[in-house]
Amino acid sequence: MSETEDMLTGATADAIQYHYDVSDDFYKLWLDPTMTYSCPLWEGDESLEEAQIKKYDHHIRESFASTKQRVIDIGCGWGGNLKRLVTTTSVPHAVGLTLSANQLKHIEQMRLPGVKVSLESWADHKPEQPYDAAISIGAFEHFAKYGVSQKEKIESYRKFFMKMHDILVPGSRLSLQTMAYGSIPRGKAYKDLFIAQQIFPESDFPRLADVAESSEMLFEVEAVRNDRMHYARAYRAWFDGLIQNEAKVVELVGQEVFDRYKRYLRVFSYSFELGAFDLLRLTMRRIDLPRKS
Amino acid sequence: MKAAELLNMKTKVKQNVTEEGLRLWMANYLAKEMKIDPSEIAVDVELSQYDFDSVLAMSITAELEDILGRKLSPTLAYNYPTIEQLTAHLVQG
Repeated sequence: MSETEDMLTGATADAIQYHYDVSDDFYKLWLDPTMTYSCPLWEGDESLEEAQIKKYDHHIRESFASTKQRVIDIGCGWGGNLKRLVTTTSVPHAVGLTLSANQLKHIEQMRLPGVKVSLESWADHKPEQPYDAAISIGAFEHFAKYGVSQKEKIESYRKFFMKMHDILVPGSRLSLQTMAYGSIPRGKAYKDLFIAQQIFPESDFPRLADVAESSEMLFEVEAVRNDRMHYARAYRAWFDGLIQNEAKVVELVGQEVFDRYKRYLRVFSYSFELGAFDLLRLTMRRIDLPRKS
Repeated sequence: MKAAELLNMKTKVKQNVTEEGLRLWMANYLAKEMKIDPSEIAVDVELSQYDFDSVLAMSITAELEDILGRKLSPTLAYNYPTIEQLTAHLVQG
């Protein structure tokens, strides 16, 4: 892959592993028992774990995955969605892609029936047969590198949607969830580099308009919801979990990592509460007309 | 001001929260984040007059929560737009 092409496929495996491979035991201390590290879907006063399962059910429903044969999960985390998919529906083949070595190992140890997981970028994935449905939860944030131009950012996202179009059958759906910039003025220099440098290196958020523009003529947006307050609540719950387990966390990963995550989880909770960040859930249907890229 | 000095200042303010201590820490924190000299920040000038955006607003609100030990409103820096107004409000509790 050329350097230019590489710039347009988002964060590298090293950058992903910097964040997600801190230690599984570390994440276990403040995530819910399903090890889900993405925005849940709250409908009331249910627990974080129940809200995470509701989120999985939302994506399974929106992608019409439950009656399909082959489903792909791009950025499958620790396998929560794959598990829900193959244990509550009749889906016989589910494929998960991750760039995190720890997540791959974790999912393989779960021995989920019909699940195949690969340490692979979506850009390199070459399926033997196309998929009937796709779900991607909390991975899109890593599909454009921080610091690229707006034009390059759109090109990066478009490469993803072109790939999805290529590997999905006609009429199929992609249920996509991503953090996004909300009420932050366009073009304004990002003053606090803490997130870009110390939390999610090589990654950047899209805006809703970026998703719409980059998927034009490839996917139509059937539904979109912004659940930013769900994420403000989740980040606060994770923050509380981290603080409650301070001694164990420090012993496991050290004071520096504890301090970094403490700041990150709190800043993100405030940012979603204010609306500086949004949480988008989009239902997208593959456009089957002859396309022009 | 170096990161270690700023952290040291924050620790002292946390141990004994005063309006003056908060003002000084805020001016130095913002100056570092905006890459300007602390002397360029006036406590009675609205933060929007500087290169202050919502990301920085959330960052400083999170830091203030850490100092004060209580959850704050995300609109704090907008409702009290100068360092003077903000610190006065926070010290009043």
